[in-house]
Amino acid sequence: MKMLRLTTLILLLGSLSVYGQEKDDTKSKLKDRVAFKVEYFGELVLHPGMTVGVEYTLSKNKFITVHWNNDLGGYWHRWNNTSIFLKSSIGSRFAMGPVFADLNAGIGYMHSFAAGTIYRRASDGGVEKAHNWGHAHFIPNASFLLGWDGTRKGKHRWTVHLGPEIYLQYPYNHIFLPHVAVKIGFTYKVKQQ
Amino acid sequence: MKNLIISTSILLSIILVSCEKENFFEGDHFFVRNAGAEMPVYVKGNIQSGTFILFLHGGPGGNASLPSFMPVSKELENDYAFAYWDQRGSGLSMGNPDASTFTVEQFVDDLDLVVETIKRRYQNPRIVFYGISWGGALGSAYLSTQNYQEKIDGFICMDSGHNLVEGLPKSVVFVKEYAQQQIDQGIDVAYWTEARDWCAKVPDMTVKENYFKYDGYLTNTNAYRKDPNQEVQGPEVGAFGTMNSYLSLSLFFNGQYLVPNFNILELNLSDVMAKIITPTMVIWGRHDGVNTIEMGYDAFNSIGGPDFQDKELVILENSAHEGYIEEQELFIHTFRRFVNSL
Repeated sequence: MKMLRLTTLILLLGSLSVYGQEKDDTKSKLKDRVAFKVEYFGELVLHPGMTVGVEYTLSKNKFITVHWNNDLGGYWHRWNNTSIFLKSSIGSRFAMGPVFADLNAGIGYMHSFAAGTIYRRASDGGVEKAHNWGHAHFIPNASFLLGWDGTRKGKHRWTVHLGPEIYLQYPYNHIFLPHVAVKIGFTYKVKQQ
Repeated sequence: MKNLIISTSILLSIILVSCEKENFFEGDHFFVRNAGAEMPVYVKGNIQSGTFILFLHGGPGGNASLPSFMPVSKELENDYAFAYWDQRGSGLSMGNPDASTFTVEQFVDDLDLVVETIKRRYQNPRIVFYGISWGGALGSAYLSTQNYQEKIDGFICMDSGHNLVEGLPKSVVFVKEYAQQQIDQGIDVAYWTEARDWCAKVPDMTVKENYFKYDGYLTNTNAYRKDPNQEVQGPEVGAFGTMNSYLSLSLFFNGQYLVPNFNILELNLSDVMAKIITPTMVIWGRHDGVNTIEMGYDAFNSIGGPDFQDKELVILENSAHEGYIEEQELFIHTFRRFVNSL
């Protein structure tokens, strides 16, 4: 939680500094600000998953971009669970030439399903198969990504990124269960910058 | 473009590697849902044998998932099917069960659901309980309940905590004697003097705070393993296997809610265990400091009462609480002999 608070603070400070410098950007068109992304989402690295999302640039200057992300995705932990999630996060991207570091923090909803047949007690005292409705979870999350921005040279519309994400799954036996995932993805900007 | 190709290659490699998981689990699995918990059962080994060893893990709050990767388990899986069930609030168990469900009766009901499900899914195989520590107590509670024991063909009761009312004070004495030995040898004298003096006050072990204090001392003794430096064969699953199997981080975090909310400190099943007439092998480490050897005799004497003959007591002379790895070969031999005799 300490890490999460620190990340949030950095994001907030980054956002404020950029907001102060880029008031003129508020009139820029939607297509200037929107980018689409697709990611490999590996829960505990090797449990395969994928996310698709939209990134919206809130403000930017030469060094820092503050963006809002909405991601829909899921992963498959074979023999354990299958989960789908919808996340929203705010991120600050710090650029040095075409290379960038991205700090994100957000919240989300996750629905996890046991990955297998479920049995329960039947009304006659025997056993019957049960519906797998899954479980609802709140998932605060934070990620640190490193990437390469092809748009910085004005040649490409895409960026690539890679890095870890941590998120907490609650409730899970009344605890915040920590997870670690690796993300590798591409972001495609609607308009070349 | 070059970067794009490199990135794509890395991505594909990870996806391909993550698909090759068969080496880490070959078997069957299912879940049971009961009173707010969704509990996994992983079945490995020789299902065709028609004999299912239902492993009852310790704790409460331990897990069966990790022991399923132990060489001792793998060896015995050549002969029998092993069913590894993570109990409510433990291991890989999911859901959000209320603390009010943390009762021995509820755990017994969960176990019965697992038994019934195995019988349904695998066409009524023979089922043998193999319970260690708290698992031994749970097996004893189950077999003493109603006519449940009619569903079970055998019981391996290892180092069980079936009677903590009498057992814990004996373990406190173990800690006290260990502390004195350390003091005599000049090892960490201040710490062990504090431990010895605390134990000497004969604390009320039905009080949770006392239990957790005692447990802190106990884990620093050789209560679990006679020779803590002995090389043993623990679970054979590294970081790669953990990432590439059914295991998850919940193994390390689950139980945080269960442990402080499931009070078994007043558990005493010795009297009701007289109802058990299931063929039983009580197996105990001579040097067990958690559930001392006196409790091994108590378990043996209690099961079926004094006239019950279909039981045996095996003492592992060079073991403490983890005889299955401390004297692995002897344990495997004894295990097979008992199960094959049923």
